[in-house]
Amino acid sequence: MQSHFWEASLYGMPVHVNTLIMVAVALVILLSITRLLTSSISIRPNRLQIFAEMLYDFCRSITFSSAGKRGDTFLYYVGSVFFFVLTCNLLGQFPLKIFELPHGELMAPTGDINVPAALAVGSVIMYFFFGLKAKGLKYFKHYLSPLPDLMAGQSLPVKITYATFFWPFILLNIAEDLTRPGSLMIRLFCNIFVGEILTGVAHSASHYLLPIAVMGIELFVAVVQAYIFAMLTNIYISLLSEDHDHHEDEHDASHTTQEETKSPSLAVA
Amino acid sequence: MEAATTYTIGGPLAMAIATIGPGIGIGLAAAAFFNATARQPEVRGPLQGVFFAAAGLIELMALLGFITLFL
Repeated sequence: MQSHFWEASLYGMPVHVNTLIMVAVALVILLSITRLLTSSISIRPNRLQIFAEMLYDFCRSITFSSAGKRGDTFLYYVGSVFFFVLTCNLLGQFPLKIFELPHGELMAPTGDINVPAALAVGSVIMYFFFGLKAKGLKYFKHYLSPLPDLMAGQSLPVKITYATFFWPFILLNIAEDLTRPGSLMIRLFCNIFVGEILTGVAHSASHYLLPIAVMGIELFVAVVQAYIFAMLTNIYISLLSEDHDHHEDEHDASHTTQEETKSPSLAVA
Repeated sequence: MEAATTYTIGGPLAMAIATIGPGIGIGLAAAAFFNATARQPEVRGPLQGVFFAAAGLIELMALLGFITLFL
């Protein structure tokens, strides 16, 4: 494990230089593609702009599926995470062994556990931020989650009974803030790291065709893992920033718009 | 490097056992996805994303087994 990384020390902290190089490459690729795609924005779109809008629509479909129009407020984070993870995953499929480093070797940056860990911590920070922004201090009420619903409209002895038996749920709700980034981190890291190992094993078994087949699977895994990471980040943010008071209004609004869209077809019929 | 190359039977066995449950789980999810697509072909698009997300969630169990290889 140690030999895969080029370790340096920055203010006493160990730093993996090969991961830093690859993250920098990913950022340069992302920024230059973004610059290229948005270079000529006009009302009459050219091919580049249509492609950019396609990518935007794909990201918006992720947030729209769980949060509706409210999702546009955190679309920028989910979209950024999706494209960053996708670029990082796909970078691992380039023939990076041709670049020689003093120590270690270049690999997909998400195959080093520090990058997924940083992304997972970023997701936690964002869902705290959007939760606090949407609900204020009422955000912390969700840590009590089954108790208020159970206790509503009950007499005092029943409330005390519920509190004595269901208080461990509070600990579970707090532990969820640790298991969410942990599962996000392990899922992304293991998938990419296993992919690297699998390519190596296939390469040692046969130098032709078999590694190509494995790398084909890896391309699929890279896209799916980026999608899952963005999807889960979006689900956490939209769940925890959901305000129940406004939610019913939104529901009514969507209901009326549905009726409005239906009524012309009925008139035609 | 020595610790990484000397294997015991425990780690690979844990990995092998850990793959059983997620295998069954993803199989059930895929079966439900195919059934739904066969009955209503128009739900294929929306269900595909949900299916991949669910498969990713289930996959975590096998990956936790993979982690035990390095413990």
